[in-house]
Amino acid sequence: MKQFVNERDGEVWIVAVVDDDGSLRPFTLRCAGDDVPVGDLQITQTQSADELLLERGGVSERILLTKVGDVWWVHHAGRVSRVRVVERGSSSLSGVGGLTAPMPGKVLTVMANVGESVDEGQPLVVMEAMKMEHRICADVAGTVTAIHFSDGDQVDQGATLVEIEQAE
Amino acid sequence: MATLDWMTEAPFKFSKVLIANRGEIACRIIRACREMSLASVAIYSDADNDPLHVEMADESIHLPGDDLASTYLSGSAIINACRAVGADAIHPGYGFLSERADFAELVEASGIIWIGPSAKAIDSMGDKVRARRLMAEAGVPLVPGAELVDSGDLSELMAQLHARAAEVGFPLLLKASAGGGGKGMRAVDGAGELDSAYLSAQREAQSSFGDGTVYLERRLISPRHIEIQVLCDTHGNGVHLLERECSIQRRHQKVVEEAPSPHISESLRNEMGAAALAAAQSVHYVGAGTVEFLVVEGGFFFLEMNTRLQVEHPVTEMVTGVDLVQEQFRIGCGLPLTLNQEDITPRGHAIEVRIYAEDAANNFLPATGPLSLWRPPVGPGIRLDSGVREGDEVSIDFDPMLAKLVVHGSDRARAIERMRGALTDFVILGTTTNIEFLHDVVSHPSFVEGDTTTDFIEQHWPSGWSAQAEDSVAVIAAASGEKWGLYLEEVGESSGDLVDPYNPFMTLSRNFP
Repeated sequence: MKQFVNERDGEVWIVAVVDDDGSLRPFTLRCAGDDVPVGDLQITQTQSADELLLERGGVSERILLTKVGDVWWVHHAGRVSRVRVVERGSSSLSGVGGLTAPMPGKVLTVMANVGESVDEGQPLVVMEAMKMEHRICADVAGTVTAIHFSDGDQVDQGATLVEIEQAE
Repeated sequence: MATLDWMTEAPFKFSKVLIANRGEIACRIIRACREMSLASVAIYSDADNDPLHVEMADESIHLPGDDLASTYLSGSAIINACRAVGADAIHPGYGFLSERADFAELVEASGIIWIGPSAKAIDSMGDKVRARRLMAEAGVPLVPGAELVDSGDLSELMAQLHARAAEVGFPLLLKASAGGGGKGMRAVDGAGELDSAYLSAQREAQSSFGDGTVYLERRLISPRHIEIQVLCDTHGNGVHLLERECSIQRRHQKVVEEAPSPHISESLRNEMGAAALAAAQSVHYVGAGTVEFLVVEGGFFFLEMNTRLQVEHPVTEMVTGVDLVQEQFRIGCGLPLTLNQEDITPRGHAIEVRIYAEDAANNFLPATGPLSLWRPPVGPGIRLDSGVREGDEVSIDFDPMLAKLVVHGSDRARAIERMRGALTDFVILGTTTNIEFLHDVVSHPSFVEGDTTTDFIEQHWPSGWSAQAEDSVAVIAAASGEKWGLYLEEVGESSGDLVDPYNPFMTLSRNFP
């Protein structure tokens, strides 16, 4: 599950897709933490690596796309969007500091429980600061030993949010 | 080299043309050369990276240096390049050296044919006070204005300034005679501002152009910018090729041009055409030129003459069927015009938009980047004049205009529909362009109504334009591209397979709205 940042407004999106015999259907679409209705649509490949078909409501729409660095340039219905791909745990999305709050803000969601074993890069806390969402991801694989805040709490910059004991 | 058939009767023969330009206009001129069996030579500098005009030309020559002054703006480097490759004619395109009288003179003195007007004609039209005097003699309507005579006595000059200003009337403009690009120009609303405005315009003109001459002109309210294309040969014949409407501008640069103008009647068109020809012939103009007018309710007024091919010349070509660059070559070798004024009638309607690498949502700041995907629209009535191709890099070294998209339709409404479709289909990825903004301009109800004035953009997007897209589709597409690894170039399991374009099953289920 990669994360996608719309370069126009900085919104962070999560998309989960399922490969349904050669065509992709999104089953989860989330923008800034909120679910966005997906509707009945699917994406199919074409003979060209630059081109996809979006099928919805019995109509095919053409999408052209190409990746420049980490950014997908997408052309659909005469409009161009730039969507940056951010790997889980990447500092460009979660900010600095790993398990500490990168800046003062509010905890939106705690996504782990004490005692749970987590993978490196797994998102643990989503917080909001300066109207931007930041994901705090596990910096190592291990077991969650403490969670210091819960949903809705205000946190100060540098506050430790979660503690993990590294797996052997 | 044997003389070309079409040139047999010409007094001044040439066979190899050096194009002292780059980008889309160089490519446009090379195409005309090919069609007329003329050899073409491109020039390029260190700042050019494998540009399209070099690829298209029959041969090319490198001008060392990465700055304009020692390359595209160096008359001596260009003359030497002609000698090195044996080019016997120069086409300057627009911009760069196209309106430099000293360069035109140098070319002719070097025994090379100059595809353009004489140095004298360029010079006469370049000085605005002199051009106004010539136009007055030729009976061309001028914006009411007045000159000042500087006797060296400042208080006398100021008294004169106030007397002339009262005659011209407020609001007025103070303009530098040698001016251009808004430099040395001041808008004055009343007599109280006159002295300080004059002194600052005079200072700016002196430092920008080395000539502090300033004159007065009445300021017209909400004028339209309409220009007339003319062609004149070396035998004293001239025709005008109707008008172009160029009112929609951003930062004093044209963005959308069309022909014919939705604003002028047949009789006004004929009057303006005759005035434009009178203007051109008063300086014994030769070649293709454009006379610009400001048009307000109840009259039209001479603004200036551009002594070169214009960026927006394709709209005239689309509605008249005349290839202006080919006509320039015919005139250049001394052939008489084969066109009569009666032959020139508008057919349908043409619109041109300028595709710039710029961020319309951010104050039209120039953008750079790779043209990773470049898929221009195709179809009936669509023309693209482009200087780039897929894979090129847009750098800050040159003008950010990538291409001109031109459409033709049987009337204005159909031309607008065609332009909207063409802009929707035009895919450029990797560099930000103004395509979506242009789409919104030509779709705007006021544009559709024909209500185009020079303040159109400020009026309709007072706090700036912003882009819109269906974000969820873009994100899902990016996720699909990521999932399938489309950035790895090859697709899925069929990678490397040859695609049979004639296989009907390839297209069977494809259905594009």
